[in-house]
Amino acid sequence: MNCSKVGTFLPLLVYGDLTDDEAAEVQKHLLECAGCSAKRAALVQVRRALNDMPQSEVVVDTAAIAQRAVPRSPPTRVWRKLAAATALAIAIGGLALLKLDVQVDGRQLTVRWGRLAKPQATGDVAALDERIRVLQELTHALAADVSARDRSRDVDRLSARVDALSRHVNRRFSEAERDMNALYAARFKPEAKGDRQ
Amino acid sequence: MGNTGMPAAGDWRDDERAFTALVRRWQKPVARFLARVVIDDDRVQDLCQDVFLRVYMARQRYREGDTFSTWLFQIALNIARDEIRKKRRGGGPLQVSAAANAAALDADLEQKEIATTISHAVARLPPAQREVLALRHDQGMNFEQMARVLGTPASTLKSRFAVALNRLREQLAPLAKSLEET
Repeated sequence: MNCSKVGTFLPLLVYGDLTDDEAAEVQKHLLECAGCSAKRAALVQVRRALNDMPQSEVVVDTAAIAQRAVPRSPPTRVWRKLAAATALAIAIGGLALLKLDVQVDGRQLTVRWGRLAKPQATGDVAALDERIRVLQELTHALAADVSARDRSRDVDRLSARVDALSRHVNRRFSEAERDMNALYAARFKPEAKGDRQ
Repeated sequence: MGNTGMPAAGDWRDDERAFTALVRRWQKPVARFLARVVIDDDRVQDLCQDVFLRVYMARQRYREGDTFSTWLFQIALNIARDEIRKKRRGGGPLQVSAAANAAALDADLEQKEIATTISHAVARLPPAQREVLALRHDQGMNFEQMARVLGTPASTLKSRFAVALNRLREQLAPLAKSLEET
């Protein structure tokens, strides 16, 4: 162990804070080192001087402590109840001031606060009439459109019927023509054959 | 006293007389600790009063079985640190113990010089070293107990203590030399 390390151990040696092994090593070094021995002696002197430092007398006033602590003592039950009631009253008042409106509708909870919106009176009857007139026109236009659509559907239906009749007439015409040809052949073909012979 | 440093009779948390007994038991060690760390004897009385006021206020938070001295000196340490912070903000230098100076007037020349020199030397130590010195030298705590009070590893505190003692030794060396010569 060198002087530097012993120097850090010496205060602990003086106060008995080294392990037995450490203390033995330091003591061994001190037997051989006059400088470290002097340091050790000086540290013993420091310890003695610290012990000798005087101390002023202090007397704690416990009555003053108890007195100072009283206002900060935990509130009694009565005070707690009063405090709770006040807090509740303040909360209710606050809700009233907020004009809180809670509605439960089916599975939906609605919370509104503030002044509730009133339905606004139109006041202007002429404007209301105008709006009704526009609505009427829109209704008529819609009805006309529906009617037009219905007529179009009728025309389509008639057209289909005309087509069917046309096909029927054509068919009948074809049949009549075929009958005419047959009659013509039955009446005039044998004579034509005889004329050629 | 039990091993927690508590008075044996009565629960000091509920019994005023037991609390008073507790204060009588601990007021001197706490005052010594504060004087060593704060270095202002004029403030020690008030600070000591504050420590026990805080103990009284926090008495219901003290857990049975905890080491009372550790809890008490944690409170004293917080108050001492607050005081040092206030002094630093105020910009005033730390005052050397007036009691040490007064006592030195009554002592012989050698004792007077040693008392004055050691007081000044301790005042020049950083607060962290003064805390370790106060707990180890004045309160006789071991480094494990000190670690619990200060929240610092014991190994760090050991080296801090060695540095503090060697500084004091160095500052007392010129005085020791001159006393040897005379």
